[in-house]
Amino acid sequence: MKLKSIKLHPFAGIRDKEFQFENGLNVLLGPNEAGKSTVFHAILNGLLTTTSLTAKQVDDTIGRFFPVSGGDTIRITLVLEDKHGKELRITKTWKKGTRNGSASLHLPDGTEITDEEEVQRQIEELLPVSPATMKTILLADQSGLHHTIREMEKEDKVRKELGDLLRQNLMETGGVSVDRFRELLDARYEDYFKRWDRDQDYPENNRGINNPYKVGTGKILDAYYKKEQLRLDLEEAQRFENELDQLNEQLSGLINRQKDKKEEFEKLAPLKKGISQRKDKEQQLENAELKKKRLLEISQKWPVLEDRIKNLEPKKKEQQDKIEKLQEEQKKAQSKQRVELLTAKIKKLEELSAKVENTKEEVEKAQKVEQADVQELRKLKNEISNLKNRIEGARLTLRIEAESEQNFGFTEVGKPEEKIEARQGKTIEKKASGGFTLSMDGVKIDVFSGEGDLEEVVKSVSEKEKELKNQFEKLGVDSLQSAESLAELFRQKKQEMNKAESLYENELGDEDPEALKSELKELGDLDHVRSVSEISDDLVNARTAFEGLKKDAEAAQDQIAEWQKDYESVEDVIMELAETSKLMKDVMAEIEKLPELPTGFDSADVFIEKVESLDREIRDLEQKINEKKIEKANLEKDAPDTSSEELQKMKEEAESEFERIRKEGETLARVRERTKSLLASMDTNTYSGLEKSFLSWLQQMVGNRFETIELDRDLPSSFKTDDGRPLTYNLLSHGTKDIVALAWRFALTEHFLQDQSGFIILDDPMVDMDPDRRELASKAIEEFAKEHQVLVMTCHPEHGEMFKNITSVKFQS
Amino acid sequence: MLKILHIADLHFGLRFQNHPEAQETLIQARYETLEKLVGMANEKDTEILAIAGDLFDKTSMKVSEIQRAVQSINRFEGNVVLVLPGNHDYITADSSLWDRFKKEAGDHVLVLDEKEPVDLSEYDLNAIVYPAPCRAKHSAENTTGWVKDVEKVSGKIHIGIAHGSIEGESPDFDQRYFPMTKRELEESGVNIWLLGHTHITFPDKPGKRDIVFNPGTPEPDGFDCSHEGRAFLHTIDEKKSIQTEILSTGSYRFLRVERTLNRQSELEKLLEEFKKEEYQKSVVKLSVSGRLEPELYEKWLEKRHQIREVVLELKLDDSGLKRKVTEEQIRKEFTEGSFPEQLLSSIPEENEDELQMAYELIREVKG
Repeated sequence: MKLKSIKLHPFAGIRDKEFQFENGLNVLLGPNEAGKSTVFHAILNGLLTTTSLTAKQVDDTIGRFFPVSGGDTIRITLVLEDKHGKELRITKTWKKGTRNGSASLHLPDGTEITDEEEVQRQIEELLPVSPATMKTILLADQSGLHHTIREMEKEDKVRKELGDLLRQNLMETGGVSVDRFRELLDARYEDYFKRWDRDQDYPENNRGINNPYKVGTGKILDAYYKKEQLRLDLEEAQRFENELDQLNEQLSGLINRQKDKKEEFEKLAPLKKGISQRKDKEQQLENAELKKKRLLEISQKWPVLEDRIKNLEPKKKEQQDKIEKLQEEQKKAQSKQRVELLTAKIKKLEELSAKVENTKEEVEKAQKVEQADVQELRKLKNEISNLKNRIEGARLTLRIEAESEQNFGFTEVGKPEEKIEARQGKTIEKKASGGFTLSMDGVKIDVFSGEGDLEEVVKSVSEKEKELKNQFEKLGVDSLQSAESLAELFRQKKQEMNKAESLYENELGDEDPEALKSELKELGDLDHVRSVSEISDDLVNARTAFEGLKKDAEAAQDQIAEWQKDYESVEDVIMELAETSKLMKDVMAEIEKLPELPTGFDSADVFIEKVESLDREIRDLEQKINEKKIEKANLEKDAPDTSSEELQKMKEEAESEFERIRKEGETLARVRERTKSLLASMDTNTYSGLEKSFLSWLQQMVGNRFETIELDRDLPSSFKTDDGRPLTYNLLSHGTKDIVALAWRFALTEHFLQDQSGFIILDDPMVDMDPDRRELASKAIEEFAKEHQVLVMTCHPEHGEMFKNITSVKFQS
Repeated sequence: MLKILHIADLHFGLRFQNHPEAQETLIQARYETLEKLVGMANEKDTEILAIAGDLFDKTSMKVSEIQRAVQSINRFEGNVVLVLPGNHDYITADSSLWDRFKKEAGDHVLVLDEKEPVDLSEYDLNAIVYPAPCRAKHSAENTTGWVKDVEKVSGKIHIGIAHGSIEGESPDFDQRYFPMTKRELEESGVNIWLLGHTHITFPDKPGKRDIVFNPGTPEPDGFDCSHEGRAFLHTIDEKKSIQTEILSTGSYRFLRVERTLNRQSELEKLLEEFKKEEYQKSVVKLSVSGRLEPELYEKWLEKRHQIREVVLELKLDDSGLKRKVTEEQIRKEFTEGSFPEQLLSSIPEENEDELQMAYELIREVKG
């Protein structure tokens, strides 16, 4: 589609003017900004703004294009050429007020359409790109052109890659910042899902209503807590109501029971006093009866007992006498026992005395050798024996073997000298005790044993032997053995005598034999007396009989004494008996007057117990009722102020509200997911063709201004100056930025138009460029205009002159 | 001739917490309606004013609230007011609510707290009342059973009065609200049953053979009763035939409105509809759905507050109403290949919620 002409009649400051356009490059030269921008807006609105508008929409969208000088109508006529080269004519008229405008579309086949919406629909169908693309890329005004670059500057620090920038730029051509959109989504997502665990479909960290987050909660969690709280409130209200129902039930049960008990009590209680009195009287009567019975018994027994006491006295006396006699007899029996003892003892003493005399005679007749004598003899004999042993121990042997005949004198100690003749070959052997002297011619040899002087010893032996012999003579014995046997005999005799004496002494004791004999004589003859044991048996019998009688009498006396405590005499008892009988009669008469025990009661006690237990039960129930009332008051103190029915409604509403919010949240989450995956999938390849075309246009216009453009894969990562300095977009001069923007417009236009025909409006594209670059840019524009219709608007005539191949459209204000 | 103004279920003490805007108005409205009812009864010279339960919403009422209700009741100029404790204002052996009520009530106000016949000759009426008072909030058994066993004296009008659900008429799925059947009531030997509990009127067209009557609430308190507040005026003649008139009593209503908006005329019709006076005294639950052209959708967003301003309280659910987002529209608005164009085009048209939300968010960013 190409633009053939536009007529403004009127539009903004232009009353009635038509502009013609050709294929290729058209330059609109105008002296000021206002004029060319009027044409620009006329084309834009002629193509894209419907005439079916409300008054407000008229004001908002095209209100500023109504003539300042007056008039309520603006009108545009556009002539377009379709892809087949056929013309179509659009006329649009806008008037102030609602839907006052009109539109008509003349199609190449001669048909005309005047339905405003249909006109607009058909125009949009004719456009080579979508209306939005048309507006943002093809028909961008000056500010639109620079938008690209401004965005690039802004993003420079965070987005190093040109490809990203370009992509971002295209993505945001609709005026929607991806980052802001993402931020908004994230913020909204937070609004909904904060502290909400989507996977669990539950509050984060299991913090349900019993442990809720207080701050920082999202909408879903808020709604969740609200509905949960209401659920708890409802449960609480239901619990309260049920509990109250139960309490009321218990309470009315208690009250009804108390009522029943009270009724029964009121019926029985008035009888209680009479029944109680009757009980006392009956008791009184019963006691009187017992008393009467006792009195009767006493009155009968008392005289009988008195008789008995009287009868027992002689029997007691009889037994007492008998006891005394037996006691006397017993004394005699004891003397008889003494006589027998004395007789036996005297006889024994006489026997023992005879024995003593006999043994004494024996001792006197015996040879008197005492043990001491024997000791003496033994001592002497020992001493002699010892001395002899000593002499024998000092015995010496002399052996002489002579070589020639010799004579010796030999003298043993204490003995006379003996002559010894020694002969050749003959051995002479001599023995001596204690020592000896050998004498030869001229020589005297004394030999002594170590025992010293044995001469004294030998002497002593003979003395002691003499003494021993004397002793034997004195005792009349001949040896130690006979002395010993005599001494033993003597000792035995003496022993027997001593034994006999000792037996006698023992038998006698301290007594005097004569006194014993005279005692026996005094006791006389007691053979006729009975034995002690015989008498004891009789005595025991008599005593037992006596004690029995005594006890009987005492019992009767005690009984009478007991009665006498109460009554002085039997007469008294009889008087009392009469009184008691009268009392009984009176009491019986009183009982007759008292109420009778109601049926169903075995006794007055049972009846009274029943009345009292009713009273107790009523009071117990009263207490229980009060307790229940307190319980109820306590329960009601915390009564929920909203009924369960009302809470039920609130809970249901909160639940559906929760569901609604959660659904909204889930929808939002899906939009967010979709956005994420969309952004992730928008990879380089989607736009690579676009980027190549951008680079090719850029290089055409940059010329040798940059030494190199560093390529990262097929995209420039930075521009480098001729001195090798990397030039970031920031450092680009304004003019360079214009070049980048222009290259980007060309690239995008090619991208969207593909091989369709269309047109592009460039609004003063070279105003900030230096002359060199302007030269290159104008060539590039001319190059672009070979393929696509281009409208360059400028207020600089010299810019227009730079183009070689143009249809210059002069424009006057 | 005996005239009875028969009401039930005023529920003084309801808090309307889920209606924050209408709360105070609705609370006050119940008192005003009772005033009005007593005035109506006086005007029509009714002999009996019968309140068949749930005069109060709960047993824990403030003294001032009880006093206010009783004061209105005391103004009844007929012979006797019969007040039956319902399941919300049930009576117990030690009921502070009813003790207070009786203390404040006039001599001609009878609290029917026992299951025994009450002869109204004391009030110059040739009638006997058979009350079935509630003694708890919930009960699986109703308290009318004793009525059929009482011998009915001929020549008197026998009036049963009870509170609870009626099979086939009231929702009581768990059988917790003193459930009754029409049949058992009809067979109990009384001439008329004055019921309460269900907030909807039945029979809605009283016929000659009907003897079981439930007037519904005289002042609606929730969306379960969509009609206006009502009372019954029963006239019983010598032959004991009953003529019943339905009286409109309440000030406020609870209305559910569901509309589909697909075109301008429907939208305008809806806006126009809410200018009607009846909506000014209504709590409205409005659900709108449909697909509107962007322009109309904007108009909806702009105008919907008008509805809120008119009604007493609006519970609006317009989540079902969508802006029409078409491919054509996307093309018109967003450059091909631009992010919004790609995002919106990637959402299948049937995912309306998602499309709608994405569109609104994009618009928000675009500013």
